[in-house]
Amino acid sequence: MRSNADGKPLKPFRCKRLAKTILVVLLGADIAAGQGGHPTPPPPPPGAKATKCIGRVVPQLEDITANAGIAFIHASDPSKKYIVESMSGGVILIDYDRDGWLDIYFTNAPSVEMAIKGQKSRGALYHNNHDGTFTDVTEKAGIGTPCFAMGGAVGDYDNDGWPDLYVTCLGGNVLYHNNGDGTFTDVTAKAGVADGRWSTGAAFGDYDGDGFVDLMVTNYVDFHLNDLPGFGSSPNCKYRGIDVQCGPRGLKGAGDSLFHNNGDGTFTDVSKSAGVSDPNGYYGLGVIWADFNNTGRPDIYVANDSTPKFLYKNEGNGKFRDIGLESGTAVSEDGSEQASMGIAVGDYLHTGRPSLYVTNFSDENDLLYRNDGNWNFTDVSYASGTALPSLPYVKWGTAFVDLDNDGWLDLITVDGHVYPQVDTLPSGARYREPKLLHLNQTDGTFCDASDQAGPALKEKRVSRGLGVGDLFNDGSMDVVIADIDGAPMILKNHGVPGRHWVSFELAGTKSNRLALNARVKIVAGGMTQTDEIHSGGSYLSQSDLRVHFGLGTAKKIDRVEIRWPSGKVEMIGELAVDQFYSVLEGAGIVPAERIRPAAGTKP
Amino acid sequence: MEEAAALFNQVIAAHPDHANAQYPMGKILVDRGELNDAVEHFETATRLSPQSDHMHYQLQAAYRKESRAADADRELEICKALKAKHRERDRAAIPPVQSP
Repeated sequence: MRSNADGKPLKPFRCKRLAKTILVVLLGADIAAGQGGHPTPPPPPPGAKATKCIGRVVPQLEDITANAGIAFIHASDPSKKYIVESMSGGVILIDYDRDGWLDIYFTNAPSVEMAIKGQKSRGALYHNNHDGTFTDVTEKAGIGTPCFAMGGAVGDYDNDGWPDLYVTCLGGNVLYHNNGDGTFTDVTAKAGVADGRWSTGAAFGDYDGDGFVDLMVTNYVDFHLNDLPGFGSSPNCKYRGIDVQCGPRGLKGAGDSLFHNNGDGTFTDVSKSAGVSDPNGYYGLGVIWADFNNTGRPDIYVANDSTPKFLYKNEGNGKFRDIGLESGTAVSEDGSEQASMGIAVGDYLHTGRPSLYVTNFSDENDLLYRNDGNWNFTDVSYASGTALPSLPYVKWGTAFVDLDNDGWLDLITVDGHVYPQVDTLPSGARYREPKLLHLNQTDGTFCDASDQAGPALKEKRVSRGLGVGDLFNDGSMDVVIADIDGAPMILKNHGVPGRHWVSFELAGTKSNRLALNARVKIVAGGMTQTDEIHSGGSYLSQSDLRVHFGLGTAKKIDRVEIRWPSGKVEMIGELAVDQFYSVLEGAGIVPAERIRPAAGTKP
Repeated sequence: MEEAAALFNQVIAAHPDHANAQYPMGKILVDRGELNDAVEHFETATRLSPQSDHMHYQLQAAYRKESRAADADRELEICKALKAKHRERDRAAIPPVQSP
């Protein structure tokens, strides 16, 4: 029998796990530093649980990569001696030729040894052939070897109707102007958006409502190929007692950038005056623009590794204010920062407010921040059932996406460790990891369907980027995943029979051309759903810019409301389901040709 | 949760100066909606362990829920300063230059 300091007996615990949890809490979570650069986070709260999906149809995600003609391989040094070799692997879904079918760009990065010799690794652009296959068109496009590439984002910076591509890199980013003829031109120097540091996340958004998209870029670590941190050389270069790459803890951060679009093909760096330069040098990774408080102005959210995350409130005067800690989105419910990587934004509760999902390192649960309105968020990670299944893995790309078209956003996350050396440890995390799928149970909770969606999600890989989109225009959202060690995965979603859907492609006239951060609300089948068009997000990736809604068994859409970035609100009446609609600002539903440019023309 | 609360109460009764018992007790009380009592535990925890940024974070959150904005802002600034200080502490010497 245990006793307290006065010799009085303590009541015994019924639950050993609870007793262990409480013991760790009493000893103090801060003192455990057995993972070198990764302090041990607090244990799950008492009663934490996850639920397997039961009694519902789980959509099957089939790996069709090889049959689709995708032969891309991400080059990477297998030993990962340097942190820069562990972070690349972006997926960019971009309909570059505006034929209405999503094409795919994969970023690539060389090893440090190759980079020092001046060698690059080839990224790849795959054209969608409309028949389930893709063709490598990288050489014609001219975007094969931009740099030591990480990821990127899509935005039409000159409003010519052709989506442009921004690639983040170590040592200088690249902005490719889409020429509308299957080729791209590097316009970085003229545009003034190289940055030059080690950039990771990027996202376009029009923060000042002038109709031209601006560009937010996150930087990770102040890293130089001629000043390499020694493998295993300090306490921050150890993991569970073994030597690993150094960082990010112990290394200097690099600050972030916001480039204001001048409307003439050039940008101005306004990072400092806007208040988003990150002078303390947090380790920036994922970034997204989203209107979190229904102001009509996009805010910025940044996932930082091992440091608090930023929620930059758009003050409407060209300035932003970080309200991460005040809003509850900077740290976990416990008040501690995580190694955060990827971001998903979505109205998973049908409240009309976008909530946040953030992916984290192993032993740190992914975070679901429920948006309660008025800039207040609540960490409902454990209550929602998404936290516990995420604990064993290092999580990266993520998305809110309605994979079963029931009208409720699900969550998908891809995983893979950063240290191949963990495979030498007798137990614990492995280098290759499976993926996570959580299906929305419509009551604020999710069930775990990770092992029910087919063999592809269960396959252990080292994944990084993730993009979601309807690759085959069949009404089901597909998934594209980039791995850092090897081939990507194209996961065809076979959907759920009997479920309906709708998709909207928007084109701004007064608003920015791709209608980034336009908000679409639909009422159908007794449900009101809201979504927003986002550049960037996930981890180093870009998803479909069309807005997809699952509709369950609804046979018609009662009404649609679009709030354009210009502030204009447009109402559209009853619509048929299972259709792709094109919407031109001020003109409502139009034929697809009206929102797509002809080669060499302005819209 | 009730079992955990009972144990923390026992520990606090025996060791009222145990910040790592005061703090989780405050969190349990927040979950129960007993904000007044939660604030007391967080205030005690931060007094006993003034360098624990997460305790100041919870205290500011509880103040904010009680609409005590000035108190919340004060605690938030303490929390931010401590986090910055701890980051500097964590920034161990940069490892030496190494060729690949």
